[in-house]
Amino acid sequence: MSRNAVVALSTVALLFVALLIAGAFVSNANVIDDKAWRGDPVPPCFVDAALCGGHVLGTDEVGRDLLARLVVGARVSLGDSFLAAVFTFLFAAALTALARLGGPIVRYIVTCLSVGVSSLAAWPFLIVLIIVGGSARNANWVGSTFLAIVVAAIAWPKMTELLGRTRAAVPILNRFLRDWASILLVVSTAAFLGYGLPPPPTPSWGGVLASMEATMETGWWVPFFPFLCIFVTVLGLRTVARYAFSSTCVATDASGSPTSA
Amino acid sequence: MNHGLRTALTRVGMFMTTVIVLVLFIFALFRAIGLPVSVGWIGRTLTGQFGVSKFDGEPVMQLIVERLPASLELVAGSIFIALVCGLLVGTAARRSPQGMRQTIECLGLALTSVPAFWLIRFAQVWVATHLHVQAAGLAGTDRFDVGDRLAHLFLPATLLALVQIPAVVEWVVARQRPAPLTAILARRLPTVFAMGLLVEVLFAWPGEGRLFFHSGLLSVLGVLLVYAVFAIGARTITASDV
Repeated sequence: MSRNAVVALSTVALLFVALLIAGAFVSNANVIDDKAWRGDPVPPCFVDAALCGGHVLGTDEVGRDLLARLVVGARVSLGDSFLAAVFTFLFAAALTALARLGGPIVRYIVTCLSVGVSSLAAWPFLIVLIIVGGSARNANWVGSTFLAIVVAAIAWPKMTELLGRTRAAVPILNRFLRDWASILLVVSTAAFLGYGLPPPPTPSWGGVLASMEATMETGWWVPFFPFLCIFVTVLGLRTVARYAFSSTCVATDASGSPTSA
Repeated sequence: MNHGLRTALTRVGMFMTTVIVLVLFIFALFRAIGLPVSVGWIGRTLTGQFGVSKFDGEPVMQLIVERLPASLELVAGSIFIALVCGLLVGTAARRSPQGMRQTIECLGLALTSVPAFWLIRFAQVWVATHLHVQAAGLAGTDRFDVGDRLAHLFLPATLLALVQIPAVVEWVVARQRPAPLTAILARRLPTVFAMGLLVEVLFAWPGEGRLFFHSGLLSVLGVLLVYAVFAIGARTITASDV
């Protein structure tokens, strides 16, 4: 593994752990600030220091601190998507082993299954999230781990395709980071549509964006900062995958899939 | 048996096996998570009988078929825009110096990292309000008017094209092309269908979107499987290694 790859991976790991730890210390994510809030979102301190009431990034449309919600939301969004990416890898590894050991008929069925599942609308996990999220809300029995397993049950084909060709760490890490980024987008979309888990008022990046239409005119910061969190994280993961784990070791085909080790 | 016929039969066999395996997989998955699907559901689903929607009171298949033309119009429009823009930008990038090519590559990476729902909502609220672009529905009048139809199609189809343009550009710029452009587009089709559902529901487009998000589990499964059959078909037809 190149020096760049090690530095990039360490940075991602450090930021991830820092965000998870920071989220544990924030307790005011759902507290409404009655003193500063006057009906519209409270502006960030760099926009209006007199009105911000100590809220560095301002508040959302009902007066809850935006920074606190984003930090706690990072635990939900990053944590759930990371867990799902880990399970995706485990699923793919198990199916690859099955295809290798099971002979030509098993291999043919695994290939058909891979083509079929990857044809299920490429946000297949969004669909499952919607369905599972809907049932979970009614039944109140589905946790993040279960959700991650369900997402992984749909997200494995690309990783399986790769594991069928190589066992080298670099292309596998490349695929893992890109899967993580895609799953983060999907989890955020589900939360934006109101199907996220855990359900509101627990904040997630996509969930905070759910009110963006109402706040675009009255407080641009409410839709902007959660968007920035998702965008920078997804772009960061994909950039690390592309440049730290790709240029020297993985050839990338036109659809973006690594083709060789 | 000649080569052409053998290839055709192999592709048909692969297509049918894939659909059957997929339905069995969905059945197993849904049973595992406790959703109400019975063994009889497998046979009915494979013959296109998705049941009666309790929200609309009509057979789900009939509802899907009624809405399919509008959805396909949106998808076809987006593929056309993606091809035109992707080929133009890709050709320009190919003829440009290395620095410009990298800039275009980075822009593509950034574009695919923007959450689609945010982009769609932003475009719908801001662009439509400030630039006065038609942002809802299939048409503005009761009679068929090509200009009005295209005006309504432009913004949603352009947003849907954004997820395809980077792949087309990358294909044009690539020195070694591992697959023809049709195969690349076929592999992107599930993404386009999925984002299309979101575009439709946010733009009040009279396609499968509303059925998918607001008509219950039977409709979700129906739309999902009909789209999957399209995607599997496109992928089987364009596959070069069958």
